[in-house]
Amino acid sequence: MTNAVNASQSTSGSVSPRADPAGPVAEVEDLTVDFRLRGGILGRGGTLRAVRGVSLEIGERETLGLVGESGSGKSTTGRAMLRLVEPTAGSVRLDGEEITALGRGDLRLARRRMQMVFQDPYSSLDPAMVVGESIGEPLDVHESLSRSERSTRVGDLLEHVGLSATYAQRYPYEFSGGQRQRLAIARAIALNPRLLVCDEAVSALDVSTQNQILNLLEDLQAEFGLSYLFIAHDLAVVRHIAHRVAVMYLGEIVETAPTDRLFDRPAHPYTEALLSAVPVPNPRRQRERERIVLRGEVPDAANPPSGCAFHTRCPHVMDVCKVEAPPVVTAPGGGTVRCHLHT
Amino acid sequence: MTATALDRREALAPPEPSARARFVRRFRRQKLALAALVYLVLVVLAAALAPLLATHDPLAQNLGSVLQQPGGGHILGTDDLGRDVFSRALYAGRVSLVAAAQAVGVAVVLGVIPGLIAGYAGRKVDAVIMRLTDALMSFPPLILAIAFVGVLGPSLTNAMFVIGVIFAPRFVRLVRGTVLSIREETFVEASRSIGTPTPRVILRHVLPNALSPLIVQISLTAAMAMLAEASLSFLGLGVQPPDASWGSMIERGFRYTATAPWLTVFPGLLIALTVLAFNILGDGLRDSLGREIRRGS
Repeated sequence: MTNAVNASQSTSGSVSPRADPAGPVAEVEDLTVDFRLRGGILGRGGTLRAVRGVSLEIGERETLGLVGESGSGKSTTGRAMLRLVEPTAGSVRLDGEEITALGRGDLRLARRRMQMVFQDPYSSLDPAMVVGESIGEPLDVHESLSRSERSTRVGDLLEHVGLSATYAQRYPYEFSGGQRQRLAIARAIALNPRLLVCDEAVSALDVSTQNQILNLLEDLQAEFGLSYLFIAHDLAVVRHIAHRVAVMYLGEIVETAPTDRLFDRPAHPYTEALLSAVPVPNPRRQRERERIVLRGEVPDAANPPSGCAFHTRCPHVMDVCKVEAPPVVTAPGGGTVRCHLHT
Repeated sequence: MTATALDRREALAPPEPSARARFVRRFRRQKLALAALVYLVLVVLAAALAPLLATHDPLAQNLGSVLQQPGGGHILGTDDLGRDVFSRALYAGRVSLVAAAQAVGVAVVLGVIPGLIAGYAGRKVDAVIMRLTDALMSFPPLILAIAFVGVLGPSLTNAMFVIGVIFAPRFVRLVRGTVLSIREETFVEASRSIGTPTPRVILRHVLPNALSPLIVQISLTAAMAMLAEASLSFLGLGVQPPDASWGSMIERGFRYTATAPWLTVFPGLLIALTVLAFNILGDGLRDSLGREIRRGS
């Protein structure tokens, strides 16, 4: 990997990998998030259920990819896990500790262990502050360091993400998109968290920069034993970085699988359709392969279809799909799937 | 991915000027605003150094030489009690400037804090604060000031406090509006996700990013406060004799407009120029204090 990161490993003494505990780092069970819709002058608006009973697990040093089209609830799932939006129901555990039940003060402490990298590197850093201030903010909030300790830590962090420690006094507008995302990652790992939620962390970057950031994330994972929830809509990116993938449709997880199985033998018709939409970098194969084009639009989340949420667009739709929601079953080849074709 | 693409520890573009340096450069280009600033600095200096610059005791009456024309022993002539107009204008400038500063100070404190809270908290808190603000805004400013001063007793401090209260809603609205948009910025959510306490988020992230429009508004409000002070003093509800502000000097000289126009013209000119300068300065600041987020790349 990058010389920069390797070189900087020797300079950091402040952060060390953790011992392996047993069990998953993050466990989510039946997570549900409702948004209240604005009503008219009279009467209250309805509710929009953005996330419907999502369950997932992320192990130590594991990257779980979370994919789905816009509006499928993948970002909301990530944000609800960190309680940046309040979950309506369900349970989120981080190293066995129930996050949804924490009071204000405890939640603030728990934030040390779960951090987020946001999509837009242009708005995730405060333009009125030098970047050293932004990166050092987690340290200011959670640790009381002397001035010199603080600036040493900030310098270490900058070097860990492949930037020069001297950049601490620069303003965000002086950096490129990729550099800003490095800065955002530096801020997120400042407290040596257990879980990092990357919400479309590379979507706003161009392809060559994407690769650099993905490699940086992999290096940091190996070094600090991080677990990632990697939210993305770009399947190629997810294939590159994720160990397992969960596919969301209309607020539900329809399939989870080890990455290879998901891409080689998708079990859910929706996953199949998603994969067939990814262009193949070979013109002849691209022309010859069969494409599954979904009909229609994503249904209104405020008014979801009965039975299986996907039945309105599914090419294999059967009568049972319209009335009965499919149960979660083990998929052939590993993982789980939620489809009547497999029951 | 090639090694060269990876290894590059990306170099920054040639050092760009800091935000402050850029502001200074852009502000300098605005000759008029620069002139206004220079004028205001001179006025403030003149007021501050009044004891050194005054040629006469501003309160000393000389009934032997009343209503003298400008020139001679008195640069700007004398008033109906034989007091030196130039010296009085210097001291009156202190009163007028301090009064304006006081009103602006009250307006900022009473405006910015509720504005930050309303904008950041949203929902019910926002609704309550904004309805109160609307109610306050529905009063005609001068009439309200006169009523208050009538109750509290005529004094400049009372008058300016009331003026400050009356101007506060403009700050509430301005700050709330700015905060509403800043609150949605990712860097605010990023700070929350770190576990930053809300007051710290507001002070460290929201307020600094709301500062530019605030500075402009302060400048414009200073102009309005100065006019309000002049109006109230002209009506005898502000500064009390024998002290003078520019407004009360006009009031006193008003009766001699035909015979001794310099009694009204000079303080009037000072008010007009100072108000104009604050306005021009405000406009100039607005044009050079743009926020820059989407630069680079």
